[in-house]
Amino acid sequence: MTKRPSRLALPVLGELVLRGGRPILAILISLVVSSLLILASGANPFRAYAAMLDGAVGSAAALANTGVRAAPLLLGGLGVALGFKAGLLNVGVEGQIYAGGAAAAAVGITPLPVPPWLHLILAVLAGFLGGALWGLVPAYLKAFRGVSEIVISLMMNYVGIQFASLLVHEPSPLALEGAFYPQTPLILRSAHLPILIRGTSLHAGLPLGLLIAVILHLVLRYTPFGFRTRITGENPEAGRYAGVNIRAQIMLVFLLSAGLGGLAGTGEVLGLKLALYDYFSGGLGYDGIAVALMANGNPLAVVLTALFFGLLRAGAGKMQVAVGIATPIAQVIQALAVLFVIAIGFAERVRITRREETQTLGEEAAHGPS
Amino acid sequence: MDLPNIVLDWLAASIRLSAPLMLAGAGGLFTERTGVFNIGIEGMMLCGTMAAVAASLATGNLLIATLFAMLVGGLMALVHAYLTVTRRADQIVAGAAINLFALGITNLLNTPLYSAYEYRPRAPLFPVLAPEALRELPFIGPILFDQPVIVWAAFILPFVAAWFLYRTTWGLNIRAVGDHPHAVATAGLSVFRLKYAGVIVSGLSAGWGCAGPGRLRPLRPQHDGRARFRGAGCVCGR
Repeated sequence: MTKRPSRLALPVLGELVLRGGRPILAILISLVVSSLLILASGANPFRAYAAMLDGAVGSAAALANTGVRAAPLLLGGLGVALGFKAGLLNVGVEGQIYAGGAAAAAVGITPLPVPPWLHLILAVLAGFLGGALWGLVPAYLKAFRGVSEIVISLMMNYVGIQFASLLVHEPSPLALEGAFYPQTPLILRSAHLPILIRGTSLHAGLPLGLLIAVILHLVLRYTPFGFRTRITGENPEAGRYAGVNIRAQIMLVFLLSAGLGGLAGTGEVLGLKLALYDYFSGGLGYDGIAVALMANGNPLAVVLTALFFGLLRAGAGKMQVAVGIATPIAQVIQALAVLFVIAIGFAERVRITRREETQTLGEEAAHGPS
Repeated sequence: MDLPNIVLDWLAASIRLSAPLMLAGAGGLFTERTGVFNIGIEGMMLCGTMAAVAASLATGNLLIATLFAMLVGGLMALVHAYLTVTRRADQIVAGAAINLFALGITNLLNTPLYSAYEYRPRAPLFPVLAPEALRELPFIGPILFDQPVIVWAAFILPFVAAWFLYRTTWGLNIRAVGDHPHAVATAGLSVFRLKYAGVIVSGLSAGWGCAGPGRLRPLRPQHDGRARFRGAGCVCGR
């Protein structure tokens, strides 16, 4: 590794600051623009944001709330981020959430003759497989037929949502008879995701997501599988020459990505809702995409953006109570943050790095390595 | 209600509901042909709808409402064009962000929009122009003629768009930008300008599509619009 001049000297932190600088700037701008909206609706933006912060991190319960809301975004976002690395945009997370949630619920409400811990693991696995199953069609069409995975996975969303809806309505064997709102019977206790803080609903989905983020980061960076994934995304032609089976890689990555989407639904069903309800997700999948995009597909950055989105959502409720700004403001801030991130871009940074690298290389060629 | 009536209603509704898709789709063609994928059409339609409702509540004039919707759609398309063409952001990403923004902002402004009214007012609808005699024709009448005038426009517009794309120089330029931008640049035309034009046309038509039949009424909560137009934005992209 060559020493780069004009860069912060701290090796890890400096890099992090440089990389995080633009997104953070974008978030700040989006907060400023949103505060204009808040002003326009006749409230004090400082008080509004203070209330939001209080509602998101002000107490143990608030923190738990942030975590609960971040968990599905994190898992879904990781799925999208993984696909991103292989040049695939999985916009079918919403459908995968429903498919995964439905599969997890089907196992979760069935009394199986197994020990409780195994029941939970089976239910989570079912959720993963359910999501992956939903990714099968777009994955196959992309890998072997060259059809855009974006359109297909997007369309699969509607199928997924309606299919889950069908499952919880009366004639279906999974539906709870005479329910006020269409749902399955409650998940059996043995298949509940463990609760981390007593008295809140912070479930094990969040640590699971954190674990997966770290694993994904390491796998993408340091393993042959990760290399094959990245080469599939960056230069499939070169990959083919290097002997990578691009089609198999697309299949595999998309199925894993869809499976993570399924896990997001699993967490919601087994950890939070404790039954499969009609329309239980309500757009989590789409927000998961935004989370991954804002993180530029970096698994560790996905953790941060998911927590940020979770914070906005958890805090919006408190803000509504305190200053009377409706909760959709959270959505607006999210969208503005994403828009500003892509407007400010990651591009310049790459360009600067390249210039610096060629410069150092040139200097080295002239004066020998420093 | 007896069966024939249900079938009649259903057929009439299919034609009525296809109109926004066709209106937006005709414009969506342009952006697709310049090689910019505009997923944000759905968001532009949502915001355009709200703009149309707001303008018609304020002025009571259909034309102004429609123009205002087109303006809002066009402005959002301008943002999309800036992000994707000038900033070279990922087209899907930019479109998705615009959708997210539209969803949030329409939700946020929905309450203030109607706060002055005790009951949610109905915005004016496009008039039905067909003469009485035609409307009372058995079977065909209610399906084809008892429709707001904009539905007819919707059926004509795709042909206009096709004529424009395939029979005019401007249309040729638009198609060329998508297929071979280098050739366009070599011919001395501005690739950027053409791409901007294509995207903005899609935004204008999204605005005008949603000002259409059945959408000029109090906005309903998010999800139905989301589901419907997400599909619309996508299908018409092809």
